[in-house]
Amino acid sequence: METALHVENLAKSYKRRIRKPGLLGAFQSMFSAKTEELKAVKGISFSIKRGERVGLIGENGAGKSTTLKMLTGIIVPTSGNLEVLGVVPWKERRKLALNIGVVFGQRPQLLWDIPVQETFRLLKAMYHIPDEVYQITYKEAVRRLGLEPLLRTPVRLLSLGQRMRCDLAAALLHAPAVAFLDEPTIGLDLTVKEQVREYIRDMQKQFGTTLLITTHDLKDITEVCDRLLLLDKGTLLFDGSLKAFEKRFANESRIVAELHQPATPASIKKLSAEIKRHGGRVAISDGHRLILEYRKEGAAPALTQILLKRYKVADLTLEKTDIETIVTKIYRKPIADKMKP
Amino acid sequence: MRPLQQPLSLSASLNGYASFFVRCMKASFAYRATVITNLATTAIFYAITIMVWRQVYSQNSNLTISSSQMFIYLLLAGCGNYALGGMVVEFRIGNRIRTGLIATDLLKPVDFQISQGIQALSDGLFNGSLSIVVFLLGFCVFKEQMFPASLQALGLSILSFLLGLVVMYGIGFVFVQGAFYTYSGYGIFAARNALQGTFSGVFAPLSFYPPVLKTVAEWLPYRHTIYTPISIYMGWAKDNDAYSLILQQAAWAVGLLLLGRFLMKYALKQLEIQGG
Amino acid sequence: MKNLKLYWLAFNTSLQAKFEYRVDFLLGVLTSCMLQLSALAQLWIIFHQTHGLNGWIPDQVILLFGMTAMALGLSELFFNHIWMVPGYIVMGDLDRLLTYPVNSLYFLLITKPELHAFGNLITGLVLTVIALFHLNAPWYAWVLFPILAISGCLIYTAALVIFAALSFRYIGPSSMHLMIPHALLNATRYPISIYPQFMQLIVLILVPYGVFHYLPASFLFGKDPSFWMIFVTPLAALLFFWESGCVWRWGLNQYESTGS
Repeated sequence: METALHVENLAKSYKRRIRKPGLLGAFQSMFSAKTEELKAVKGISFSIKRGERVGLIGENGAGKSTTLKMLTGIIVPTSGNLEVLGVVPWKERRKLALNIGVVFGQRPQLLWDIPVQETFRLLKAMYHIPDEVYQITYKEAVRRLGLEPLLRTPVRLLSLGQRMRCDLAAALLHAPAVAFLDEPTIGLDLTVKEQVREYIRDMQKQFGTTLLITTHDLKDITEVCDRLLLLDKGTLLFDGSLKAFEKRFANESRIVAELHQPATPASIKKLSAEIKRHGGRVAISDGHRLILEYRKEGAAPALTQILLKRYKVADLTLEKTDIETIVTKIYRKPIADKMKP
Repeated sequence: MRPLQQPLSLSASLNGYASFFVRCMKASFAYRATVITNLATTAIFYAITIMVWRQVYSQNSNLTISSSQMFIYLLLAGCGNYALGGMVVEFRIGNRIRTGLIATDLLKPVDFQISQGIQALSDGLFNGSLSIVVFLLGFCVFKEQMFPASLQALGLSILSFLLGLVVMYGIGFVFVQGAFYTYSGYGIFAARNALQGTFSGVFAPLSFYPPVLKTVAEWLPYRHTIYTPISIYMGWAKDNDAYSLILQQAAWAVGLLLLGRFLMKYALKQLEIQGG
Repeated sequence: MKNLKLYWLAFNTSLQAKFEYRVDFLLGVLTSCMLQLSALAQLWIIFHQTHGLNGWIPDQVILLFGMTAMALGLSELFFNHIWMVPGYIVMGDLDRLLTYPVNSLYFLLITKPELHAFGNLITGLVLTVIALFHLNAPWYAWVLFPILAISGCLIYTAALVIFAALSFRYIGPSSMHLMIPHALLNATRYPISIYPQFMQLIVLILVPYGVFHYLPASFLFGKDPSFWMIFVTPLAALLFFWESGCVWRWGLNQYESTGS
């Protein structure tokens, strides 16, 4: 099967009971039943092929979790078509479950009192994992994620970070065709995050797993994924490669210079004029620091030359806007402007 | 710089507690499903009790308490029990202990036992207000027999009922200290529930008890939550007996609350030592 | 069903884990014994005031008590996880369960055995055995009562499942409404004949508790000559259990998680 996931005009709305304020209102709410409609997902479409590594980002309330739950068959969409591995998730949940792995971020485990190792054994029976596969995945997980000291501990006693690692190992234990990872690196130390991302990358390579990762940590995406879906208030704002994303939304790059001597206002004026002609502008001039910003591609060498010609520069750095800055900026824009680069 | 917050004056504290009380009441209204469930389960237990005794009375006409008196007693006991049941001390405090949230409670500038007590009292009275409806319905069924033995009896029984709520809280608070030592919340609640069910007189007046059971019941505080207030109301305990009972209730209330405080201090100290 | 192996493994593993908490185990057993004793105390009070209950002598009522306790104990031992369901629904924690390739209900039920069940189970067993002994029960009563106890367990669990499924639609913050089927079970400690008609219908037909102890006992003590009553029970139990599965599925369909 070529296509892992296919989504067409997927939408989901909820009904919420309206609560009135105040003591009298609370009493009234006991007997009334007025509801309002909440549109969590407003009609999104995308397709993912087997083996792709896709990142799904969006602010809280954007509809990521809802989408994920529809894809895994936990909730039923209000409208639209949906197919994962050739199966409609909510219709054949158990059949699909055999071939997917899910990590649920901060959600607690169902089986709290059981030691980690026993949980794995239980999953082996549950997913009918053949011995050869289990040997590999189990060993890899324990080694790469440092699970050895945790094996005999009941899940309930693990810290968030430890639980996350176990959760991830559990999700990939049966080498599923598709892995849905919701906040897989949350609560982890920086070094552990690295370990985890490496583990995910390698497992993916080894088994050709299709990945859909939801996250707030954009490094998860830049290090593991090659495609990005941006969800905002229930609509899909962007669907494409990481490079395309940068190209589309990266606006300004910067040249940051440390000068030997503070620049004089007069010299800045002259510099400004020349920089402007080459497609840039002086953003900050603060004593020893001088920052130029430019939009034009390829303008860096020329601008740098101008700077070096006019000043004695002690240190020079070139900064390209990264995905994180881009995304933060997008979140801050009002809706109408969000699609503009 | 802003000056440091000084401890509140008594009136300000009381004000604070009062508004807290109102907030608790509001929260009670928010969960209508729970109210219905509580009513349903109480109704079922009550129905069972009534029907069993009805059977007994139909078989035996020589009982020391007349059937109408008995059923009035059971009605009052049911109402009282419903009010008491609303206090759910074990669950509330027990959960806070088990999840460790109690640490944040203890950092607040309010007394833990008192604030929890107010919460419990408000829950009890919330349930109690629903009980009153049933109580008033009792007048339709039993007519003039439902009246208290005297005006004095009415006043004293109300006082006794309120004291009974405090005693109940005291008992619950003592029991819930067990939550510091065990993970299971069910055990503590069940144990207290079993004792309450047997010795409070909710199933039958203590005068009906076989001698052994009666003696045990008289040494325990449980009877002061149901049997004592009702026997005052019905005039079974008059004048000096009534006053003495109320004093006993007060003594138990104070004693239990103090015991609870002591146990909690001890438990917390243990936690500190063990680095829990 | 290859899943049976899985369920057994899940149950075993969960049970093993539970035995780690020795203090809780002992405390739980103690308190459930206390609850049973509390019920017996009530019986003591009643029989202090009168000689029988509608023709049922104390030993016969104790038999009912014992069977009820056994059904309760068995359900708590195997299927106690159901009590956490309303909480799971409110917090949206069922999601994890729904990602597993298993029957959500069955897997859920057996993954949290409750050890204080042993208190109820043993007390119930003791009471039943004593009662049967005192009553000089015929040989087939001894063979039957385990089957009937299991049936009772299934019926009670099924009732709990149905009420838990109500949480899918009518959400509350606590699992207290499971207390309703629990309270109804307690009603069947006493011979149902003392209850008015409508009540009898409820505990015989609507939630067929009476089927596993009252009806067979009635037959046993010659109060009711219908022999067929004994065979009805296991069938009724299975039927009711299946019915609860349907209600559960209905509930799942209603399930709307709060997305974020």
